[in-house]
Amino acid sequence: MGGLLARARSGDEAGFLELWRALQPRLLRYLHVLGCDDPDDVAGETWFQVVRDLHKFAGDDEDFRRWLFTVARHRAIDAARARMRRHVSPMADGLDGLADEQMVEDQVLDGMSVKQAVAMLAGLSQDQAEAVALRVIAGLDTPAVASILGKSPGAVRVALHRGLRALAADPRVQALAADHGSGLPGQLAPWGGGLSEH
Amino acid sequence: MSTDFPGHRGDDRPGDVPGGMPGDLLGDIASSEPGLGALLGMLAADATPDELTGESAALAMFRATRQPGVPVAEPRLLGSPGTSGRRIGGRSAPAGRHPRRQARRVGLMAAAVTLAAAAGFAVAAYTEALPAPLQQAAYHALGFAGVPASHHPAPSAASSHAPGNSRGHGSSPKPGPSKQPSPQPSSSGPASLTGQASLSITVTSGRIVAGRSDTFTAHLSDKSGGVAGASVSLLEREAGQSAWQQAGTATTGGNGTAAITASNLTMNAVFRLKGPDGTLSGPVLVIVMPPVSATFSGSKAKTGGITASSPLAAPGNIVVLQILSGGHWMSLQMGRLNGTNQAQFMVRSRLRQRTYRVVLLPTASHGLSVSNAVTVPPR
Repeated sequence: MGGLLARARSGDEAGFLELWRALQPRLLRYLHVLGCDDPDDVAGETWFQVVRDLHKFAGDDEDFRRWLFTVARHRAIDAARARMRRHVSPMADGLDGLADEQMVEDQVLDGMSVKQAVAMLAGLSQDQAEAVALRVIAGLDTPAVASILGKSPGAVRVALHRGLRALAADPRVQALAADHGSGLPGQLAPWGGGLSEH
Repeated sequence: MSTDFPGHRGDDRPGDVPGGMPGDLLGDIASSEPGLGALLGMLAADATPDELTGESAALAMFRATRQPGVPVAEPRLLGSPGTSGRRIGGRSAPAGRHPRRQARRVGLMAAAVTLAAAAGFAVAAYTEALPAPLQQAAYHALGFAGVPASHHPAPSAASSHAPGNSRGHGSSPKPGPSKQPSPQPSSSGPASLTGQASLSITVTSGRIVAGRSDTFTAHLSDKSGGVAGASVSLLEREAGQSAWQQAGTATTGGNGTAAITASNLTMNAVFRLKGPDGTLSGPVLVIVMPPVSATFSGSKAKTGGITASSPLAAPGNIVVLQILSGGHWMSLQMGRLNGTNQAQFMVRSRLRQRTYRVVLLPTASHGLSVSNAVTVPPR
């Protein structure tokens, strides 16, 4: 991804698009976990700020991901505060699982969909969900997650451990074991660093 | 999960990465729990098509932002008429979903939640379990359905007291139920009570299938103990009705207790007892569940149908089609009962050979009801 980042910084559109394709899905999933009303909107604002300030960026792939998800978290906070100021009722928030017929079909036919997995993660407590999301979805290491959340690495590890244990205890997750066999953590992050020890 | 994220609003400028720290046990946990490993794999899986629908808008934003001298618009403005027509990174509707259908579905869901919430609110108000201000509001909003005002006694206990200073005789048992409208519960029958009397009511079930009966036990006591030979009346106030009706009478036995059965209950109702000298019990709520059935009507077409039927429910009531998956029931579609108290659900061919059921959502008039399970055969 380093090459893509360099190309995007130089203004290469194809390089930017490849970078966007690699990170946009993870950005949306993270924003879903945060409970954003409009993850697409917040992701758009995030990319706008990142592209605008890209010429000031200095760092590697990991640094870029950390920056991207930090910006996304702040824009999500802004969006949540704006919604509270508008006193918009989040009435439909809890209806997503019921309203998304396609998601139900996917789960029935395929065992579990990406959306369903994200929804399960969002069901954890906030600190656990964010720790797992930034670690697994964003592919950040523990110090980077701690930096984004403003917590100590130890606190992040505790939240991560508890969140993973809670997920592992879920009957729906246990049912996945029979369908998928043993998990291969090394395959989880295409850029090779998502689940390796740092 | 809350959308109000706590935490500091630190610097989000690029760079500034902390140094290396010892790692965590994520990989170990994932590898030791196969199901968890699979779940984490999904979270980090490749993009789904609907996650990349904003690509052209993102490219437009990149071009506009990176070109020197080109005014940079905020992302929301780029989605306004006259530009790309889409928000940056956004989409007007999820891929594969018709916006109007989605809006209709959300509308139905909202209505369902409203009704379900109203039903829950009504249940709490019926039993006077709401805090006083809410109870008062419920009295005004749902007074038609028999919600007591907040000044009524004993929010949770279905008993109340009445002062008494004489001891009398009980009346003979009378057959019930007989429904005679009465604006408010009032004192009835001669009774002799010593000191403060207490009349309590307990319900045998409290949740019954529509058309069945439920039995209420009265216990009348004063400072001397159980009061025998006293006449007590069972009063009923159905959802949607303003008046109390007498649903039966009985005479207390030697220990001050009496049992009264109300039969053929077809609607949620609150019950209370009226004893001698104005003694009133607290209210108890009986939830009635209309039977709902699910049947499959075969079809040679790609889609077959499941018919939900609930003769004792009301047209417009909401029913939810659920599908059994992995031992869990998942809600799939929603609909409303038509004029003949039926609703049709279409089952796609790819979801045949599955087991379904229908759930009738609760309203102020009835409780939640679940149908039989029906397995859709292959085409």
